[in-house]
Amino acid sequence: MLRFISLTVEDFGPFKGSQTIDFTSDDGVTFIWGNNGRGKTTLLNIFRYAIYGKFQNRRGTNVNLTMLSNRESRSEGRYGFKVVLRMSYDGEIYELTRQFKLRTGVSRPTKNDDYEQTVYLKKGTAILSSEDTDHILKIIMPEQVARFFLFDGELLQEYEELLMEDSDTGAQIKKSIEEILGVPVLTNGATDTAAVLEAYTNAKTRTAQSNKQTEQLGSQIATLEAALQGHNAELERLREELTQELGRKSELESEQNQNEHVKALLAEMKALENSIAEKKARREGLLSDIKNTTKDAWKGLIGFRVNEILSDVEAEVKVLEDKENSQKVAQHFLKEMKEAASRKHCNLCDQDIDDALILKMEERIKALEGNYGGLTPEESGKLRTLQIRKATLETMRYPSSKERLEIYERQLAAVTVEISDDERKLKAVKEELEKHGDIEELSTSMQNCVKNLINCLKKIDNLKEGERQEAEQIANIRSSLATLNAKLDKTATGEDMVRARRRVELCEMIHNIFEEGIDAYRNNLKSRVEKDATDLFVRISNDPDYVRLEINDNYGLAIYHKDGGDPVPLRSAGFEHVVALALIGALHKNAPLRGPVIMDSPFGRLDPTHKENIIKVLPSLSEQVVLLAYTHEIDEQRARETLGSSLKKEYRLTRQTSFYTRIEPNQEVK
Amino acid sequence: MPMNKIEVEELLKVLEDIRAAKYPEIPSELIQSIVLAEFENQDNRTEGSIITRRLIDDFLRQSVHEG
Amino acid sequence: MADLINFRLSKKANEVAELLATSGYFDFAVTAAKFALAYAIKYHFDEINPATYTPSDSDGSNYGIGSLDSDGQIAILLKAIYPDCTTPYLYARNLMVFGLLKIGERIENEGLKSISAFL
Repeated sequence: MLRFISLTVEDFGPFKGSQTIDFTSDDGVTFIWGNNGRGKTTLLNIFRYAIYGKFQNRRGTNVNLTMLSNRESRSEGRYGFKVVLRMSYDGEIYELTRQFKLRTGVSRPTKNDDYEQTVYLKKGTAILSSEDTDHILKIIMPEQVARFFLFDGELLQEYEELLMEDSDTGAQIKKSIEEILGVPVLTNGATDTAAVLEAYTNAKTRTAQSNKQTEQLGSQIATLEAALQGHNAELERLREELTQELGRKSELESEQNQNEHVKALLAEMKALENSIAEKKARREGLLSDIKNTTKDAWKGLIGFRVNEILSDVEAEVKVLEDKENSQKVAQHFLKEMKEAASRKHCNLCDQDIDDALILKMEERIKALEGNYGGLTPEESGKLRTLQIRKATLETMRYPSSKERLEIYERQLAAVTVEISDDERKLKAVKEELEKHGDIEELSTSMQNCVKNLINCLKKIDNLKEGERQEAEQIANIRSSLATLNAKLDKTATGEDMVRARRRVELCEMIHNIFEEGIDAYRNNLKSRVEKDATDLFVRISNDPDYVRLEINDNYGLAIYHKDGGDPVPLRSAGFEHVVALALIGALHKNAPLRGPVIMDSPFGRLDPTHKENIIKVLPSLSEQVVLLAYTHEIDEQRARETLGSSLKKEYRLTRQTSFYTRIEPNQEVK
Repeated sequence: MPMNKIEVEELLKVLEDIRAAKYPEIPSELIQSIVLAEFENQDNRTEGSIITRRLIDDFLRQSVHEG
Repeated sequence: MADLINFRLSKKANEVAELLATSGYFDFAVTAAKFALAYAIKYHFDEINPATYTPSDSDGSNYGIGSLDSDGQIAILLKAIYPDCTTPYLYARNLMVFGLLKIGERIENEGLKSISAFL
């Protein structure tokens, strides 16, 4: 894993001169205490600057670097700043130096161009080339996953979005999560093996084209393959552009937040987008209820016919059974009569029978034997079959699912209407926003920014639609190709075709391993993240009623109550923090990428008990944890007692002047 | 280029399970090599795809012989 | 006569099944086809003789019997409804095609606004 050994800052922000924080190489927690305005957040951003060469303000936008050098140093004639981060990774020691300094020949800077930024990375004692530096930095802490290593309370709040479908922020966080968990290794593998598969499929098609027997089919396939390639490329392009636009959108939005008018509109837009996302999720839920119902709806549908046939069968059975029964009754009666005739005495009326009567009786017996002869062998067989059929039909009298479906459909219709209402409102808000691009009271740059944002939103809509259309086309071509290839496989028998086909088959298998691996790995990860996050959550939340977190497809975590039922709705901001921390801890535990966690005042509006519980689990979040906190945000003494030997170091940011903060080891620590 | 110790055992295990159960004709080492190439070249997609292509080409050359 | 192991729907019937699946009302086209089978039995029982009905073509997707009737219920049902039936899956295919076409006609006339209307 990646571990920070020390950080040296020189003339950066409030940190005048050269100052160093030493982290220990032992597992554990480092506290850095500082009051508001002393530079805690700057310090968090300095870590980010060291690794990525960018410095972000509170709203996440990049800051002009010339503004970051220490004011007092500047007045003393020292311009620019420097950061040195020493790290260990995979048994090697690295030293990363990033410096923002005056260009040679400049002594008093007047413009940005007077500065230059340099970066170099030493591995052991050797300085690496700039490509290697770049590569190593991207491997040990890719920028996309920075949010799990370097964060503050505000960033934690964003994790709420993971619980919503279709949320852009949520989608970005999901991407980051998959990044840290190593999913791109598989998706890249799937993409690359798909490309190889495509190449071998094309080779097979060429073989088919060069063969008289399959020439025509081969050409048809080749045409479709070329079309497919075009659409795939277009889809890829659209996706890339969309990612870029989404990034641009959040930049423009944060820029816009400074303007009150626009801010209100943006908030409304965001609220509507969230509401739409939530309703779409509800619609998805209803559709899946409907699908579950229609799965067995056929049984209810045949119920009517089954009943009708059943009553016919029952009637037939009855006729035969009646015949069988009456024969039994008749048999008994005949037996009695025969006995009476032979004994010349009737047992029923206890009277003797005279010969004339006997003769009559014998005639009757003869006639009756003909009439109540019972079932013929065919009739018995038929009765047995009918009885089995009747029994089968009786088990098939399922109730109709019509009513249940009607309820779902009514709900579906209602939510669909709500979605289109919201979408209409959203459109109106966007139009309103558009007008703001021309409002005079806004500065020109603000107006431009609104216009850019509007264009950006339109572009995102168009890109999404384009993406959908391309995907549809691709699916169509794929299905035609599958049909043609199946035909080709049947027709082609030449040896070269057999080999070409075999290569494609093997390629398919390789590709399938990766393709199937993505889902399998995701599910596997999700259940491990869910379990670890639940462990942490239960320890922090300290609420015996909240027993479990459940992960969704976006890695959003819902809280479940011990009584079961639906997830706990309307979670407080404090609980969002707890859930987010539990998620981050679980991600670190399961990520191939591991590193220090550095957090700036992550406690938000938590009460003392929860704060203390968070302190308790800090050592479980990662092997190396650095906590930046203002004095009294947490009880220092309690925190020390809670952590015990897990607390390794403490520093305090102390004020020297308004523009000068010193980083001092805390004297109070043992 | 110095290579890092790769902490992708879980990921490999998932793929190996699928391979062994459904695609035993594909050698385990081939999948491993592709995963390593993709892991090491996350910042360089072109390189990752070139190596993957080469690995599969080599495998196919060995397993499907020209007549 | 041997019963079917795999079957293909007709092109038109297949389109209706796909439409029902993509509408979001059914998880798979084959579930929609099963629904259509029951629909044919309920509403068009006297119009179709599944023993003799022949679909116009077999250009639709290919399905395995396993995906249609994993628990064998369809076969049991069809034998109970049609006592002379010895090839339940041939019957099933014919009823599905017929039912899908009938549903398709209704969709063409009324649109596809609800699925409970077909119950």
